[in-house]
Amino acid sequence: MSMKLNRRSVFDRSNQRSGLMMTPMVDVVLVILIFFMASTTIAGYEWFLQAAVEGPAESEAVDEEARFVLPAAVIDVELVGGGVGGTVVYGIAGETGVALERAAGIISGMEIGDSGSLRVRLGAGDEVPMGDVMAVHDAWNERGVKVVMRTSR
Amino acid sequence: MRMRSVVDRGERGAGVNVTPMIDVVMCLIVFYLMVGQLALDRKSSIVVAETKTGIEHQDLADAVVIGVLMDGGLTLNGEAIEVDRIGGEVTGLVARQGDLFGGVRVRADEEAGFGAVRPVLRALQEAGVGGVEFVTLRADGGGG
Repeated sequence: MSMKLNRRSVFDRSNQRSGLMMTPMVDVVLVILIFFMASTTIAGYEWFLQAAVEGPAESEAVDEEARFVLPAAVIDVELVGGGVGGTVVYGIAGETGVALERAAGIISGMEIGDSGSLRVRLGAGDEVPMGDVMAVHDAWNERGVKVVMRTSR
Repeated sequence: MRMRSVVDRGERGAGVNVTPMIDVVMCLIVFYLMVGQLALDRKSSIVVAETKTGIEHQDLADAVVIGVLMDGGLTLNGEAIEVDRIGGEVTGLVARQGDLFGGVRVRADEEAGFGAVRPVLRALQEAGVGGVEFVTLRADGGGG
């Protein structure tokens, strides 16, 4: 009698537990999905433009053993304006100022022998938007030229 | 016999099944953390410029991040700060972290004037920092 009862009870339990439980798996997969979506949105798509800062710290960074080597050629580039008329870039086409839209094209078309021995000292007026400064910085970076940010006006 | 079977089944089903509750609570926590983070980002409202070139880093932990808002306001690692305090703070961080100092990153809004960034660069220069990294968005969209 008791044997029969046990068998019946075991059968009942196996009936209830049969099949794969999908709910916890779906929940965990959902959490992982949200986590990766969030981390991609927050941490992705950004990178960095490196620039030296003009001043004593920057000049100290020069290799002492290479002090007899000719110093790097420096191009002074200045961004002016930033108002309604737009930003004008000086220093890449003689004395003439160039509209920002044309600056990247001029920089990419310049004949630069050894880009490693060239530095651009980049300065800008107070009103020039950082987006414009970064655009010029980006154009020089594309040519492999090191950019030094000017801290003096 | 029938009564005993019913009681057995009742004992097995007794108690609250907490697994779905924990899962749902976890989802809610992740959701609110995410929304909170996005809201913070929006509050700081820094939209950086897009560039075609740049370098990628993964070691973000020890870097000092200076934010330059559109209105010229400054933040140091997310906290508002006056420009004349930046030099001292960075000098302190360099001294504390030593070789672990991860450099300085400037997250400047693309609409912010260079006049707001120049004092920051000058303060960094006085603090002995010879270079910075400007945070920009990948023009190609990136992400893979």
